[in-house]
Amino acid sequence: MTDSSELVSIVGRARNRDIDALERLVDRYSARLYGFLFRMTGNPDDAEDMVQEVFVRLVKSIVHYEEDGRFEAWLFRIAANLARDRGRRQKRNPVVGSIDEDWTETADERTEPRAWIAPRVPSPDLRLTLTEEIVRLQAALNRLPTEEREVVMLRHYTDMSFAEIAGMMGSPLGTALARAHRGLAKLRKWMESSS
Amino acid sequence: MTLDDEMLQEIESGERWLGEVCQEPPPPNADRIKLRVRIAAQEMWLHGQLNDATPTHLADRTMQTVRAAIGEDRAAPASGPRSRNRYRRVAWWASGVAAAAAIVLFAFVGFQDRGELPSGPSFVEVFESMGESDLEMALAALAADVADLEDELGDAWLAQADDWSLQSIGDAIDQVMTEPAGDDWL
Repeated sequence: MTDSSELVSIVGRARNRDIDALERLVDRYSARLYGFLFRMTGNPDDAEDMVQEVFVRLVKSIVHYEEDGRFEAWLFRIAANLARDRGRRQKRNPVVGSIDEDWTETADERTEPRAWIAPRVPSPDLRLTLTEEIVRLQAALNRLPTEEREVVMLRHYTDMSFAEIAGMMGSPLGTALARAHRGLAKLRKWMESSS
Repeated sequence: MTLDDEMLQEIESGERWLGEVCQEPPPPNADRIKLRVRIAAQEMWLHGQLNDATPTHLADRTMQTVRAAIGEDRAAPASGPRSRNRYRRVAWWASGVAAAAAIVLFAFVGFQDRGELPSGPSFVEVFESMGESDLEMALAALAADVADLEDELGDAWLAQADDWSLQSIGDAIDQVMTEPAGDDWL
């Protein structure tokens, strides 16, 4: 059985809430979803909570999924929506949540307009759990506007095309391409200057 | 080379670079995610059972009553505010399923003579045959009994819900709901 036909079979059984099939989807996607959500939030605990929520939503809504060979895109759309909702909540109420406990802003970034209040520098506790490279990249990702980070991370963690990402974000294809282009260029520049 | 071609090339180059430098964080606790998935699947199944057997608003009201009776604060405190929040969140789901199971199990154990199983229609069939007002009274009585049952079992019982095999709970509910209900329910 090919990987894609096996996935179709697993998803088909998961639609009937087959526990084994659902757990296989967890095995298959939880690490990548976690990576995506960690990169989007900068917080490992929040990312794990959100992965759980993604799968709860999967259980509730998988009956509505129509098999089109794009299950992964469907799943990451749920994750991206969750990350966006979280961003909106934090923008409305930036002091609520654990993000400020885990990361602090650097002085030169406090005046920079941002789509949401993102963390900057990890607390000592959080730093212990992450390698220096992960921390450095995360700090750079956190400086990106949310939309640019989302496009870059969706491309990195999924096989979604720019057209699909543009459709998901409700923006023109050119905007998605420009966001990826700008985001990657900034990331590279910041990472290289900090090494 | 057009501007678009140049942009695409730079994007591809940037994506290759990111693939090289992007180390992945340690993976999440898959067992905890699977537990949450099993709980969600059981709750969806339970909702289906209740909605199949009762008018929707009564099923929802019963679940709300059960949750209110349990209350988030009954979850045992864990260390630190973060882990306590997470614990509560898991316990909320687990206790919802466990309490709903308790309703059905209590109905079966509490209202039947122990011994030979009665014959006749199952709980599901009895629920289906009830008029709305009779069913409402029956469900209200069962929901009210949940709090007494929990007091009897103690908080430790609910705390154990994290470790339970929720599949087994689901199987138990399934079995009880399809077993004969007995004369008290006819």
